[in-house]
Amino acid sequence: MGDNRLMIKVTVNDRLYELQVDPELRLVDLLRDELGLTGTKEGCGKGECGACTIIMNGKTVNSCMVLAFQADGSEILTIEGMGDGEELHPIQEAFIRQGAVQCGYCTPGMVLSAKAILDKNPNPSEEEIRKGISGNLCRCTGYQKIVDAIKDAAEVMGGGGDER
Amino acid sequence: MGIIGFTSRRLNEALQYLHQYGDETTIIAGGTDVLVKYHERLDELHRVLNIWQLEELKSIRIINDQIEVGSLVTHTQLEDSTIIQQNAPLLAEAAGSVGSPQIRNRGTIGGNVANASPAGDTLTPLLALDASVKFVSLDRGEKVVSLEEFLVGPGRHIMKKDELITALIFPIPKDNTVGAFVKLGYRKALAISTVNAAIMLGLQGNLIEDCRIALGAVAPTTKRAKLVEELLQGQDVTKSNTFEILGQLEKDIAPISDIRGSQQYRTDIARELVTQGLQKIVNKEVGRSGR
Repeated sequence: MGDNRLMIKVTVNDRLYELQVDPELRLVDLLRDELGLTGTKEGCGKGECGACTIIMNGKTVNSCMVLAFQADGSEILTIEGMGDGEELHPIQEAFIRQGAVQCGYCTPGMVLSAKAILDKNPNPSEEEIRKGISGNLCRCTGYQKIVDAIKDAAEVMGGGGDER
Repeated sequence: MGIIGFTSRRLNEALQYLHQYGDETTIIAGGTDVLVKYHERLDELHRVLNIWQLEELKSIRIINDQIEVGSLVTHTQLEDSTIIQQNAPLLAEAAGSVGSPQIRNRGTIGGNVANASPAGDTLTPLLALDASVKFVSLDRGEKVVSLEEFLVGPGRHIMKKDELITALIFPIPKDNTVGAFVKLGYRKALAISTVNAAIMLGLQGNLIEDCRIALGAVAPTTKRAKLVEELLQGQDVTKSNTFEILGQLEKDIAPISDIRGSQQYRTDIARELVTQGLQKIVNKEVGRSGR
């Protein structure tokens, strides 16, 4: 294996990593297995469920659908980068407040999709919210509470955008 | 052992790589098709050429009387592009209906064309817009072929293994044309279309001067409904007998039965979708394609 490894540089949650990766390694595996960032979940592995959603160069992507070496030079935000280690991000707080977390498996992906929605429009309509989380499945069927949480977060964050 | 990965930073570098290793290479851009196809068997890939970083293929431009969409333009870019929204809203709508936000952020128009799925959602509007595919190889240079000739079967196109799609090109629709895109899937998100349809009408008042109808998932490739197109010429788009002509659509298509729908269902849905598309145009629920 080792001989075909490729050198990449990625910034994950503001920290720069220089790594050697196997060409067949997926980004989700890089994050979870090599960097120990297990907040990102894998569900279907085929881009259907959104559990592995991360933000890459400002856009949500399914990290199971990106080869790790393709991420060379990119900036990645995972759920671990949402809070600062002490305080949760306002979106996370809103999810807790609204009871939008049941089993929790979809939550990291949902929170990142929520961030992308609010980054694009700090005051999203319900339709924009629902479209924005349409790539994230919740099988506890908590969608209404998730939508409520994103509305709540928008309000708390004052519709003024998010600096993080 | 193990697969070999390579990232090309310039088009020429990618073409050289394909010239040398094309036969054993899988090209990957957004990865939304490749990583599904090779799910849990990525080690079966031999060489993977990553073209995602080819910045020169990521723009949408107006060149004279044509619109040129770089092959690495994502569905999100198409959906948000002012040029596409103003000149080809049916393509923006189709792109916005694909997969999910995450898929649209990675999946590219070139990938949708190269994947040549009979259900590809951007392919029907591209056919209705009379689009051509621009592709290039190191030793045979650039070719421009109509999308209709480019697609030859499910997952099949005319390109050789050393060639790479660089752009999709279509003429800027005339001011008197209106377009519509309609699709049916089991869910709004993340469902492969059971049937999709795109229509471009050139209207003189209510009279159909010119028309292109493209249908997806009802034949081995997305295809034009040429018989019906011809019958619609000169008809009044507001009259009910115009809609009766759509009964002839089954002569233009050859659907199969699969998990998403039976042959008969697809035939009925194709007619229904084209009807809805024409109604959208009549009711002016769609923006004019011209400026």
